[in-house]
This record gives sequence, structure tokens and C-alpha cells, in this order.
Amino acid sequence: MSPFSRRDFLTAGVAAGAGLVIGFYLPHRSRAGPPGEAFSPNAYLKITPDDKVTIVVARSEMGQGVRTSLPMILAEELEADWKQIQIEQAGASTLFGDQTTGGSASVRTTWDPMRKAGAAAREMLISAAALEWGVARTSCKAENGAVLHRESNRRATYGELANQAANLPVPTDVPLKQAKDYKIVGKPIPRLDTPAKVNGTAEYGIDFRLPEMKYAVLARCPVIGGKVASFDDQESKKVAGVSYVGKITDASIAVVADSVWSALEGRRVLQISWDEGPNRDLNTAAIMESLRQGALKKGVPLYSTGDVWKARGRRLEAAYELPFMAHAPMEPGNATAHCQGSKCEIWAPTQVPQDVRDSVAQAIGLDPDHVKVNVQLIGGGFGRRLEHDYAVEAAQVSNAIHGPVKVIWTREDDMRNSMYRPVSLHKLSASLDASGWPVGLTHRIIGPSINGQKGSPPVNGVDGDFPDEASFIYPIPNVSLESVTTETPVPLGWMRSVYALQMGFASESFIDEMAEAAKKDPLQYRLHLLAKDEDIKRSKEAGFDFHLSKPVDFHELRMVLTQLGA
Amino acid sequence: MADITLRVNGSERKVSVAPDTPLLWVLRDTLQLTGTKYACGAGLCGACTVHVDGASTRSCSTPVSQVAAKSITTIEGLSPNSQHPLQVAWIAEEVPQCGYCQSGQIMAAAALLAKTPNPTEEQITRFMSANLCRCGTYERIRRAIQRAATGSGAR
Repeated sequence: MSPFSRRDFLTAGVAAGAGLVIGFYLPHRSRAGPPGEAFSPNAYLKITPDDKVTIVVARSEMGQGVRTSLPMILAEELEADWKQIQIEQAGASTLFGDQTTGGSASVRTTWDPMRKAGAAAREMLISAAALEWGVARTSCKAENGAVLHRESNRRATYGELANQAANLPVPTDVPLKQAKDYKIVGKPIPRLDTPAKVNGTAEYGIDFRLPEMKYAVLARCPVIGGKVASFDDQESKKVAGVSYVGKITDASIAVVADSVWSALEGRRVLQISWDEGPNRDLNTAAIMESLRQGALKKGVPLYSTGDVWKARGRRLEAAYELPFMAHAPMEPGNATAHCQGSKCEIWAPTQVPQDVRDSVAQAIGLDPDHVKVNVQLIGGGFGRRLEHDYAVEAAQVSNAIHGPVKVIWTREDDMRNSMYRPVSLHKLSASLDASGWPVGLTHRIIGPSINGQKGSPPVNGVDGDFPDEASFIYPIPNVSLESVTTETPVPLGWMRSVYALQMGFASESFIDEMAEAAKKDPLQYRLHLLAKDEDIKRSKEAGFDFHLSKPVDFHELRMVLTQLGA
Repeated sequence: MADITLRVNGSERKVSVAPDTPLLWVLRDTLQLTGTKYACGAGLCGACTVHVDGASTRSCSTPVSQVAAKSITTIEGLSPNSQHPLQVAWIAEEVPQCGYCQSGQIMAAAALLAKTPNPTEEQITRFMSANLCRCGTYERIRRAIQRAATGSGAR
């Protein structure tokens, strides 16, 4: 039996309602769950008799505004009074489907569930009022946090109706509002969390504390794949405040103290002998050389149109090398853990609460149901917090010291131990006609695959993200885009826009070089290259729509470029 | 360890810490004033900015022993009711995204306005360029400082 069963979860929700009797709880079921589990509720709403409307946010807030935008969606359908809205952050749960926050997808993936949850609640509140007043429900109307019956001039607030509504069945097929009737969605609504971010009260993961909590920093092997050979903690233990020094994994040693500074001082004087392992000679020059070797291999086509080999004209070539890059969010890596016997509770600024739950469970040998993950405000994600490493470390240290602990990464730790945006080499060539316009263009991308390293096999020899992100917007008659996948032991991760940023940097840099070679203004050069109506039609027919995951409106793009150039 | 008396946000606070402990960690871990942020620990990003005798100071690279006799102000003590003109302007301009750097941004801006009540755009840019924002809210930061400087108040 899980110590954090769904029943506990709901009870906790009631207790969080400031000790008031819960009005009603609305599990919304929008789609069938896995076999054997008929439905998977994926959002909820709580209305208490004191007219507080609490909307649960099941995505992570990292500055993109989900703690305001997602409640707006539900509140719109609910016909709520926006001033009464409170938010509650969901932890890792089985109620909400996949809670990963990434890919700019939070509004898109919660739009339907949030709307339906709000609409179902609205209909239940209307029904509760109609029953109470003995009138037809069609004569009642929900508006601004209350149900009205015009003919008898009666009005009941959602809080007043909450208990009755809780006893009604949850309707499955509810009418949704028309966009033209929206009062909240699409309107400029101030973010709910801004006041706390300007007076120091906003609590980020790194700010959270538990009674008796210790702080830990880890010494990690400076070589990827290396291990601890031996260590001497005599000096570390002399530092005032240091309470524990111990090996946490094969490749890391934790220094635990009663303040961050004491832990850092303890780590500074820790003597470690490392077994540097198979990558002891790995270096940037060798990695770049491996990409140049990769460039000699046959690539996998990403996109092609026309026949680049038949394109004649003045040849132009360029190569661009892009380095590994750490996400470097302002809030450094951290997580707090309290493991007690067969259960563990985590407080983490994370984009992947469910992965944290499962990874912590696996790392310290617990049932995932015995791991509770609380999601905290994130001081910048950028993809770095799609990784679960901080939380796993915190759980391992807590397990070792049998008490609550916060693991903190320094900025140096962050730069040295990231899951980096992959290194890449871009080889481009163009054939320019007599006027300097391109008639042919090739772009080969040589580099390691993030998905490949993380265990998702390439699709047709290409990282699954490439077709989406390797966009090319200029309708040149003969184009060939190719990818060559290389291997690296350097840990890779998804960073904002993933491959699109590298592709865009290389191709736009090359457009500049083409304009330079043609002795033309780079902006005018681009505007000329951008499609005319006929080109748009032709590029769609050639499959550009598939190629561009976020189809470009050429007219809009032309407008943006013109404005930027102005 | 040393017993040090600090004057933080107008109150005397006695702490017992190693004298070389950076002020940042004393504020955060000992005094539980977590509005001041750790981000680089090397005085490079400005997230840890506080005022020491009114001057913009990087608390991450200031040993606590150096500020014992001085007056320290953190974001929590910038105004008694969160109504400092910069805080009002920050809300009016919807400046923060993730918000992590904003305590430091506001403290730096407050130090700027205390000395230069009507800064030019150039002065704002130059003074604030030492404070990093990973979300890239720089344009709104500048607008908020201009709003506060011109007394435009809330929206």
C-alpha cells in the first residue's frame, strides 16, 4: 500500500483548503487510460464555501507563465471571477497524464482538459442552483463566479453551491464556449506570480527548506565516465559544520554540512584520487576531428528538391563548428530530499516530475508509489531540468545520512556536468548564378544524436527531432539537406529549440556569406530569396509543409525581416 | 567561527559563522532571507546584489566580516510594503519571467536611482549591464526603471 495513495492526495487537498469543508472535487476524465485502468483523470478544481476557487496547475512554472495561463483556460469555461482564483501546483501524479513541461507545449496539451474541466464544473453548479431553487436549469446562467436566475432575481455564489454541486454526477459531454464569448482567454491578464517575484517572497527550489535540513555539494569525477579510486576526508571533517563525507555513487562523493558555505569549504579540501577511465584523453580537438571524419561519410537525406548536382555556377563553400553548450539557468541545479525507510519525498524544480519519481525510486530501490515529488518554482529551465540527476543525487545523499538534505550545484558544477546541447559541424555549399542568386545549396549536419544517446533509436538513420527542426525556408530550386550521426561519450540534452538553433545559425550565416559574395545587402538578399506566391505553392507541393514543423507564413516573415531592417 | 553583529534591513542580527563566509550565505542560510539569490558565486551575474551602506554590492563575493559595522539592505527590506517605486514599476511592466535574477536587478536599479534619479537610457544600460537575465527581460527592465524614474507609478 502506497504511503501516498490517491485518497491521501485528496485528503491533503482538503486540508490545504484552510481547514474548510471541501466543496467539491472534480476529477475530469477526457480519455481512456491504459488497459485495466478505465479512465485517467487529468485535472481538477476545488471550490470551497468561502468562494475560493483553486485551480491545479499540472505543468512546471519556469517563467513561461503556466501558473497564470493554464488557470485562465479553466476559469474561462467555469465563468469564474478571476479575482477569486488561487492556484495549486501539482506534484508528480497519476491524475494528469504526462506532466512533462517542454517543447512549448503546456497550453496546447492542457487546453482541452482544462476547458472541459471548467465547463463540467460550471454545468454542475448551474444544476445545483436549479435544484435548490426548483427552477428549470435552462433558466439559470453562470456568470462571474455565481449562478443567476433572472426571473426570480436570485443569485448564489459558487461557494454557496459547492457542497450541493459535489453530490451531482460529473457530466461527460458539456458545451464549450465560443471564442467570441471569451472574457479571460486572449485578454492581457497580469501574471499571478509577479508580485512575489519583485519582493523576494517567491520560493524557488533552492530557497525551500525543511526543519533539520542539511546542505550537500558533490565532488564529481572531472573526466566523463571516471570513478573514485580513493579519498581522504580528514581535512574536510575539520571544517566547522561538516557532518558527513561519503561516496554516493562510483563517480561522486558528497560533503554534507549545516550550511552551503561549510559544505563548499569541506569539498574544497577533500583529497580525491580519480580513476579517470576510458575518456581520460578526450578533448575538444579530438571531438571536432571526429566530426570532420564523420563529414567524409555518406549522409542520410533530410530533405531534397531538384538536383543539386546539376546546379551550375560559382561555387561557394563554408563550414561552421558549434560547441557543446550548457543551459546555464540562473537558478543552479538543486533538489531537496527526505528519505525515511521505505518512502522518500522530493522537492525539486523540475520539468519532469514523473521521471524524477521513477528515477529516484529506481536509484534507491523503492516502489515509485512510495516516492512523492513536489514541483517547485523553477529559476530557468531551458531543457536542463528535463533531466532528473539533481533529484536522484539528493535522494541518494538523504538515504546515506538518514535525514533531510538539499543538494546544490555550484555554477562550476553546472558548466562541467551538464547534459549539453550537442556539438555539430555544418558543411554548406552553394552554386550562385551570374547575378549572385543561389541555384543550388547543400547543407550537411554532422554531429551526435541526443535521442540516440538517450536510447531512442534513430528513425531511418536520423535523430527523430531532425525532420521537425532542420528547417530551411528559402525556396532555392536545387537543395539537399543531409545528416551524418556521430557518437560521443559526452552527455547530451535537449536545449531550447534543440537542433533548430544550430541549423539556423549555420544556414543564416551562410546566407550572409552568399550575399557578401554577390555584393548584395544581406537583408535585401533574403527578401529577394523569400518566396513569391507561386513559390509557396511549389514548395508546398514539394513537401515543404512536412519539412517545416511550424510552417512559415512567408508574407509574415518578409514583414518581420523588413521591420527588423528598418 | 566568530560572533558577528550585522545590521540587516534595519534590525541587528547576531550570527556565529566563519568570518570569511560570503554575506550571501549568511543572508540565505543563517538569516533565512532567501530573496537574495545564488547564481554564479563569483560576482559575475548580479543575482546576489544587495545594498551595503546604500551601494550596490555583490553579496556572493563579500566576506561577512567586511560588512559587520555597515548597514545591509536586501530585497526583503527595500520597502516596508513592497511598494518601492521600482517594485510598482516592475509589476506594471510585467518584467519577470522566471524571476530568479529580479531581486538583484531591482536592488541594482534602486542603487542607480538613489544616485541618479533621472538616468538616461545610456546610463541605465551601462549600469544594469552587470546584471544578467537568462530569460532576456532587459527591455522590460529598462522600461520599468524609466517608469519608476519618471514617477509614472502603476499601470
